[in-house]
Amino acid sequence: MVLLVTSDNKNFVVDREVADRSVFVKNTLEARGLSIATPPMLNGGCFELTSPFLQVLEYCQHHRGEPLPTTDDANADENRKRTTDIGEWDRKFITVDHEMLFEIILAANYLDIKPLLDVGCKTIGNMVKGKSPEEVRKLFDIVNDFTPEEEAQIKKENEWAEDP
Amino acid sequence: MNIPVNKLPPELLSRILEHRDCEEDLSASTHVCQYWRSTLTSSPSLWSHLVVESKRDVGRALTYLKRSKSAAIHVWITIDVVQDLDVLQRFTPHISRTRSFSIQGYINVHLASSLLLCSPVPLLEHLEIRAHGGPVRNIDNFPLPSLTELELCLLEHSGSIRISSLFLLFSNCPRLQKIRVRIFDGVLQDLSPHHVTSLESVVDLSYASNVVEGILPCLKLPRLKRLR
Repeated sequence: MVLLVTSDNKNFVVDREVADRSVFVKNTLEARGLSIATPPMLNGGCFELTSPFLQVLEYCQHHRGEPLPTTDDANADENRKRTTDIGEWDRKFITVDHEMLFEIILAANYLDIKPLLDVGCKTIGNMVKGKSPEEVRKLFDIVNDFTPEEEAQIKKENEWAEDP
Repeated sequence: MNIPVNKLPPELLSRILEHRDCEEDLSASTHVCQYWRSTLTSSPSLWSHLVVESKRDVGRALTYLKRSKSAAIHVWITIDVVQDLDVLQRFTPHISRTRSFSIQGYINVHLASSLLLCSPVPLLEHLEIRAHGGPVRNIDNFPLPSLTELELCLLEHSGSIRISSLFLLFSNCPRLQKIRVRIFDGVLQDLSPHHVTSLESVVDLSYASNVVEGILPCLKLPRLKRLR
């Protein structure tokens, strides 16, 4: 068992197999020879940590024991990037509000859980799929901060993008 | 920057767009806001896959070439007109950073390969030439030090290819693992019956050519696992 302490001082006792889904935690434990890892993640107050961490733990528990992706296969990495498929369990797991989705992505990135990071990124990628810039802005509540001149320039630069 | 999605650092925003089904999503995303545009256009790997299926795609490909900066690129070109070599000329300056190259259509294979491989190709791992017609005089031979996969499909071409030139092409690829050859006519068997070419790294060879089948005894393939 491993004790994980978040930056807001919440304790989580989990199986080593579950903790090892995070390459960050795995490496930290192996380097220190300890059973306690304190991810000093995002302690700048960007968001409340416990909530996404619970979600991340749920993901790690579900996927415990599965082979971790290797980092030395460039082709596999290339194929991984070019797919947008998400498994059924992962799809249901990641069906959360936007705020939580972004926090899970940030946590997965910090904790180095690539499969979860991919699930989060693919989910946003699928949301963007087929949408116009205006629809993307509406979806994520983004303000169009281009000046009219910049918009005209972009339109000109990207005329190829508007071909039928 | 207090918008939730824009709390994502640039590397994560780029990663999101790596997972895309079509290139229109990427170009549309560069029109969303300043942050998205500057992030995505400054991420060379996002622009590394170039597909040219008609002249209309050339403008897009040139933008990709510019934005991919020095990143390794993957190129797919379909050419329907043999004289349309000016499209290829646009890629020539970038061939040294090309990791995979696929060209198909009515191609003058000799001219196309001469044009493309006129300078070193240290990164090229995958080369696919599918000529559905077009003259073939020969295939020039160039060192392809990283090539692991070669697909050569020559159909309804005019002229002939010497088997010796084909073997020399294979020999110039010291890491070649997978070869696919489909040539149905115009192959000139110019090897002596005692000739042997050794291809040490080839594990997978597939062919559709009576002539190639006839010269198989001239190939020494110590690591071959699959023959089709």
